Amino acid sequence: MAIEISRLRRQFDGFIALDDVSLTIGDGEFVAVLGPSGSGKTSLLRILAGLDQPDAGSVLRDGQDLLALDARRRGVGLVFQHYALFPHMTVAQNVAFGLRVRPWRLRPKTSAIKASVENLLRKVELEGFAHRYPAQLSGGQRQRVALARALAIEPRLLLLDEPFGALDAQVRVNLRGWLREFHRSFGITSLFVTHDQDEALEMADRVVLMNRGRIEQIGTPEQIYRQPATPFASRFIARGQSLPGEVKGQQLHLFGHVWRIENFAGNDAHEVTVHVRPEDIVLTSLPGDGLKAKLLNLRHVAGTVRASLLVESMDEPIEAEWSERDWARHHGPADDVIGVHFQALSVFASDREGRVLARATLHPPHASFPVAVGPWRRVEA
Amino acid sequence: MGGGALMAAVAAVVSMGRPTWSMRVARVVLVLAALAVLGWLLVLPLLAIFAEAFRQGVAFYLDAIRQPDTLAAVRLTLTVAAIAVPLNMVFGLAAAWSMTHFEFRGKSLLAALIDLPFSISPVVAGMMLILVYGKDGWLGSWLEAHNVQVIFALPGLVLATVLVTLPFVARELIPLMQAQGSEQEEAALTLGAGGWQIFFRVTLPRVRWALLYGVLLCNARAMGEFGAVYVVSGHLRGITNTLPLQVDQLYQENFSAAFAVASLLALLTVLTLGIKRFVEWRHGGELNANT
Amino acid sequence: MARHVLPGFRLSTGYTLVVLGSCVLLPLAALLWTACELGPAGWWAQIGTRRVLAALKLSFGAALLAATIDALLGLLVAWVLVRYRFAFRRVCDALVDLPFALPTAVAGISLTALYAPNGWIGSRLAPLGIQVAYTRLGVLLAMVFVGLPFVVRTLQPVLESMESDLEEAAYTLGASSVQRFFRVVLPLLLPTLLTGYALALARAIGEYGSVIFIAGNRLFRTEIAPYLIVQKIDSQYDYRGAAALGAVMLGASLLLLVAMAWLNRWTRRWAVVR
Repeated sequence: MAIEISRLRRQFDGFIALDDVSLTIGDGEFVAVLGPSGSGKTSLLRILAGLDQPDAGSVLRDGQDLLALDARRRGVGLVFQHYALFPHMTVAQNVAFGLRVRPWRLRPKTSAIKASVENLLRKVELEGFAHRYPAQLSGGQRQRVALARALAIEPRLLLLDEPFGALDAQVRVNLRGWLREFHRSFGITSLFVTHDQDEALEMADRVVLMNRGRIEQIGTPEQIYRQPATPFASRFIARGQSLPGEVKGQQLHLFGHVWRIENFAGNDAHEVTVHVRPEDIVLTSLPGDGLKAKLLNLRHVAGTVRASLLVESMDEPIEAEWSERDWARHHGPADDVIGVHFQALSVFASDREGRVLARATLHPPHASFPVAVGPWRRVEA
Repeated sequence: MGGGALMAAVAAVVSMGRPTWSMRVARVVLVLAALAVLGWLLVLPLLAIFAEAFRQGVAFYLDAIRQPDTLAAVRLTLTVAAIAVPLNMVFGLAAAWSMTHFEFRGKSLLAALIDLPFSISPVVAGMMLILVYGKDGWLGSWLEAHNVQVIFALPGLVLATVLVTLPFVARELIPLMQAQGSEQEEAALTLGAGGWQIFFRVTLPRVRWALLYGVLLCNARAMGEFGAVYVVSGHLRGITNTLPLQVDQLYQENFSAAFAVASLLALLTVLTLGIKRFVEWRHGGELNANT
Repeated sequence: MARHVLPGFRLSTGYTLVVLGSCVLLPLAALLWTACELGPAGWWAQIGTRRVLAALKLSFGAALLAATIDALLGLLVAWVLVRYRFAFRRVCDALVDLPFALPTAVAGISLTALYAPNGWIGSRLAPLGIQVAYTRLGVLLAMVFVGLPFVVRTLQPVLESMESDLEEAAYTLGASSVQRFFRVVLPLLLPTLLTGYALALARAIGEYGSVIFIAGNRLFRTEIAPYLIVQKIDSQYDYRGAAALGAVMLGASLLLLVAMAWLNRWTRRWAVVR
């Protein structure tokens, strides 16, 4: 059973929330829709849930038109960002709500409803809480009640809006693993919306990256991290930072060095963006080797060393990240100028509208560490 | 409204997604029903006042409100309001300052007492004052010995008005100041401001629109109070008759004249509501604690 | 006092207590004292007369009915004002306060003029055999008039802040619009609606100015309790009788205050902290 979303468009006075969005969700898949606020991810969720209608486009489930179905009959479970638990009902009444409001022909017997509520509460590990009111629960417990309530109607698609958005950092991290396991055991097709990269990358089978109403990239967390499709994807997922590079012919010019790029069709591009990730800025083994970087500041954070660097002629600092071990091995005594290499670079050529015409990821020729993207050759001025 | 129409109306009010044709119809029905209620219950009586006031012509109207007794009533009403409203304004500010910046025993009892006059019948309020300040009241002989007349005189009218309008300002200020907290006042304190400086430079500017709002409602009620004032005034024509009492007496004698005087009060009401709406519209954010 | 960081505790609390003491506490004590002096038998001698009992019955009966009508009409008006956008919405919103701000005597004579047998509405109702002015129906009408803003103004902020989330959640769980209204919206509004009901009730029981004109004050028929109090003070100088009756009404006010405090706790139990 698959959900085929094609060419969805949604506009609110003057603001395009969804711009030609197409996406296929496989059976039992756990998909994250990731993007900053205003990227259209919540609009997509609301349309799937039936709380909003698109201006154009279609949503099919096994060939059946989902948009023609009223939200009541859509069989889509939605977990709201703030849970939207009914405050005047107990936990059990909340969970039973979807079954109790069915037309009487389809309504299960009272005993059956009771059994299924008990079953669901056991699954979300809230057995003893059936008679509490939502106000008497912690944030994480409320979230699980909301999940149980959405699952009670046996939905064929489960939607979660910022599932951890309203929780404390610690609870959030704990619940992530729990929800991933929960999905694995239930196997229900699920889609969740989040603005938190870690959350999306850590939990989802596949990530849909959205920006300004468009899908920037769809892929597994690894794919997006390794091969970001757009400068936005690179910045948002891989913490890519801009370098002042230029492409001339089949060559990348950067800090007076030149790198050959094979088959890069970005010559008549409007703009070329070169990105480097903090972890791809590596320390040279010999001082004086590689690119000169002025160390602005240094922070030691739980096993990693984070530094702000001014590389060569740049006047904006970029961030680098090393392990404590590498830092201890390579830094000179009290030097504030160090040598660095770039281990990987992403290059994007885009047109005026920001569409990517060509991209290349430059990796080191062999995997031994640390190896710079090379061979570098100094160009005589 | 029949059962089916009611269901359709209910269906309309909680509709989601694409509104259907029948839901739109039900919406219109609901709005019209509400307009009918408001028109019948509120607009008609308001119109009736002015219609009755001008029934015998403009000349008669002007003549009626220029009667010496009526002018005396206007003066008395203004005098009572001029004393009672500032008293209540100060009371509201003091009560709000005390209730929101300090913790002390009996605070919730104090809050209940401040609200109490709202739920007491004005007639009972007036009667209570007579029991204390009247000739046979608790303080009656003491007041007589010192030659102070409270009941059937101006002080009684003021007391009754203050009692009935007591919660108006305090009730506007307390929730607002509670929501704003004491942080800014404490910041001013650490910066070296004195108590009055904190009050005039920090607190007052933050609550000024809520204060105006409360004073406005307090004033409308003060000028229009009938039951409590009726009991304590003795309604001596030209001496202890406020405008509402004058309306009452004229009503027994000269219908149209009563409405002419009533129209003055109605005009005050409309004006009050107009200014109130304006304040809500321009300064709504400073009135309400949760916006 | 180390706990009081900000200055002005003595001044503000002191002034508050002086005003409350002289205007509320002392008179309240006087009323209770006078009523207690009577003793149960003396109290019943004042209350148990046919005239007083009829007045109390009318005051409380009509007020209960009026508050119920106000709850229904107020729910409709508040709902329409909050949920829909239409022409003159702001004017309508401002109008709701009219019974608050209009002097009660003015409202009283205006309602009487409208519903008197020769008035705009009264003359149209007369052929149908319905008389409003100088009957119990008139008392009810005046009470509905004064109570309406209490229900509307209590409901409005709650309706405005009610999350559309909850209705949407019910919708995605399969609830029909009727189910959403009766299972989600109405139960959530209920404590607030009851609070508005209690406020309207308190006002209706104690109302004097708006009611006495249209009531006509006919013995045993349309006399309300506040009218009797005024009568006892004004023409009979019977302060003890007035106090006995006043104590009954004060008791009702206090009872309603307690009920409202309880309703307030009820709503707060639901409050979900975010």
